[in-house]
Amino acid sequence: MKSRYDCVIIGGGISGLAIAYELAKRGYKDVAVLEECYLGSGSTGRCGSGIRAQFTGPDQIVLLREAEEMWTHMSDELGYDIHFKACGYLFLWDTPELVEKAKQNVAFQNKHGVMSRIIDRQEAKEICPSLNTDSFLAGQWYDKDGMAFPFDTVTGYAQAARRLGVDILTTTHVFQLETTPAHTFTVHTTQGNIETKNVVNAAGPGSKGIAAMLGVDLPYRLDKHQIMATEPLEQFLGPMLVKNSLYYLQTHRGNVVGGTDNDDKNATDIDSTFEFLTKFASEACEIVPRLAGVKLMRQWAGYYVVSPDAHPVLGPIDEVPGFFQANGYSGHGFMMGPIVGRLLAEYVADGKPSIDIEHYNFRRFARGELLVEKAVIG
Amino acid sequence: MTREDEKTIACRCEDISVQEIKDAIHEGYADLQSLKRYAKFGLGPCQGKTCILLAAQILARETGRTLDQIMTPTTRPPVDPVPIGFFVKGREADDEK
Ligand SMILES: Cc1cc2nc3c(=O)[nH]c(=O)nc-3n(C[C@H](O)[C@H](O)[C@H](O)COP(=O)(O)OP(=O)(O)OC[C@H]3O[C@@H](n4cnc5c(N)ncnc54)[C@H](O)[C@@H]3O)c2cc1C
Ligand code: FES
Repeated sequence: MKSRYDCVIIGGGISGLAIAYELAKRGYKDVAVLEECYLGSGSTGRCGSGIRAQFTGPDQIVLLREAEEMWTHMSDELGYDIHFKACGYLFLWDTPELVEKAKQNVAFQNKHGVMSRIIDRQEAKEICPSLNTDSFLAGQWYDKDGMAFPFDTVTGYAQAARRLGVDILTTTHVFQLETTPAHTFTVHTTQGNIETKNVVNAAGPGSKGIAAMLGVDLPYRLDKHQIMATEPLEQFLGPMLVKNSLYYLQTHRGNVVGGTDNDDKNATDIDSTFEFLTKFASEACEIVPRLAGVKLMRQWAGYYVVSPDAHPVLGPIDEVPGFFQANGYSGHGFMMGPIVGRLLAEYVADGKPSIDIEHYNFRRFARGELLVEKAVIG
Repeated sequence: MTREDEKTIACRCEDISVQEIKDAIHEGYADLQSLKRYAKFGLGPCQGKTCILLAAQILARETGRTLDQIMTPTTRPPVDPVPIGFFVKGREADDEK
């Protein structure tokens, strides 16, 4: 660790590592990533690994369409297999009202270049032969959605960033942040102090606390979400399945991984519960009955960092020049990692991102310009 | 590197050799959590009951630390794998047998 960097990124999850990599790729190499535990130990290592562009808000659709394009080439780009697979997302709708709404969403997504479509039960069954077709009326399908393996993604970004000269420090906790009269920051860490011109707050569940150190009040709450993994099986499932808050997919290693809403969202612990398992099991087996015989292997929980409009905060803070946010993803920050990496690197290095994301700025809360997003899963 | 290390399987569930664990340690994965996830052992059906301690011993030896200095990852419930059908409400677990 040096005592001075051009940019310090707080958080060693997908956001922080992708931003570091993209900065270094642009020749902006005097960068440190500070992670208080191990890389991927935050939400990234706990997530469901799903990647989709089927959103309901135009901003989110455009960004995720771009992100999916990046995901497709990510293993080559990083020189490390992150196991991206375009398995598709299959949403299952079980009331006529939901099917009507889905038709509107599909039309809207198509208008923005995401060619999702409504499919009947027969076609859904061809895509996912294990489906119980009595459990839904119609499907909503997009074959470019997919998944990637979180820990491999973390490793790929970290190794590529290090090769380009980025310092990545683990077990380094940031406990204080100050601005200096010379318009720089002093970052106080458990491994010593660092002076820097720019600070990127990519601290996931810790981001509210980091912002508070500089007097910025990020309006977030932490929602607990539980998730489980089964024993590995031969590939049988196909797409990511989503029905209401239920979602699951089969990873490249064969484990079925997924979760659903549980009523302990406001809990302060992150314990795994029996209630979650019974709810998940009932919902999951209803759509794919053969899951009933599959052994459950692991169960864990993590946090969604939820903002008032379920959209992240991305970009600079007007009141604190040099302080950038990449947080508040509200449950879909893994899939956004690559595009956030690129756009935040552009903010820090060039002052302006190549896609206009001004509406994701923190100032929207003060102005009351909230964004709309209905497709929050889990 | 020894042929013995290449042939000795440390994690039987995931088919990971002692050598693969040592390689990962020498690539810099020097804490048990990162090592486990990078070298990909300890997440099989036995949930690491047979291999984590062995890997911890290798890590201790390779990095000149004691076992106590090497934190053990948390075991996550359920400890013994149970079929999902067991948790479905109003359903007998025996249905699936
Ligand atoms: C159960 C579950 C399922 C999910 N499923 C999906 C999904 O399918 N698809 C999807 O796109 N998203 C999903 N998400 C959301 C996704 O996990 C997150 O949005 C994403 O991982 C955020 O990445 P990040 O890098 O911003 O944050 P994190 O991965 O949380 O990284 C932040 C890091 O900052 C570190 N840190 C915090 N405070 C400090 C400090 N003071 N000093 C130093 N370091 C600090 C933490 O240790 C942590 O490692 C899911 C989340 C959960 C919990
Ligand atoms: S022997 Fe390693 S997980 Fe079972």
